[in-house]
Amino acid sequence: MNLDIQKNSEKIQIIFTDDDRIDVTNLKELKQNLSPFLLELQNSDIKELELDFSSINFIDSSGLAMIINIYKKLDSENQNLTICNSGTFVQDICKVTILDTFINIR
Amino acid sequence: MKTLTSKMAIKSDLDNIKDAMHWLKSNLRASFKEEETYKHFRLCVQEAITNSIIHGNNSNKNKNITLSYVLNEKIEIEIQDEGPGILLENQNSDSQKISKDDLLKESGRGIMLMKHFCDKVIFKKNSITLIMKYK
Repeated sequence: MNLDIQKNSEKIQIIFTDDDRIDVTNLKELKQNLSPFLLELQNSDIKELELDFSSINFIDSSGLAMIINIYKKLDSENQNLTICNSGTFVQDICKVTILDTFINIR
Repeated sequence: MKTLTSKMAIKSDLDNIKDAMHWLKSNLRASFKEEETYKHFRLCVQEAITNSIIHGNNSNKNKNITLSYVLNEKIEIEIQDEGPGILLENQNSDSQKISKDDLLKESGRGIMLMKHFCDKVIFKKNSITLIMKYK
């Protein structure tokens, strides 16, 4: 999965570009691709990570586990995680699994 | 109403989930009127298969996962592995009962999703049966 990265002093924005799902079938590759940006974020003063889910229309519990893991890492450094441009399916899944109670999803 | 049945098996490798999902789509997608309902069904089946591969068969590629369904007024699909069975505490995962301490746990949400989207989830020794209305 390719990622389009945009950075400024406040925020790193990651846009998923060429895949429509985050699930057990592509998670390993996705984690590898995300890893350097998460490391960069943790070693910086940047306050927010924004994941742009415009292209994502399917997520499973392993994808949710990855998001919770990222949230916990950022939260421990007082950094915020936001998921933006998510569709109905992703929003439903986050509501059912109550991720929407601690992660900003819109 | 005519009853349709089919069965397939995969080896316990996460790479084989795509084959199972392809089989599911080609056999059952047309029966679902709503794309969203099918996506919820697909998600539940994928969660059950993942659970069977990782926890049931301990990712042992020599062990099989068998999928079989019966389709009439509703769909009933069984995902069976060769493992020791699902722990009772995991069977009980429920978003309505989640404690504050468990809120950030990374596991357990697959069963939560199955219970939410299916009309019934039956745990047997080494299988999960998902029952869902599809119209």
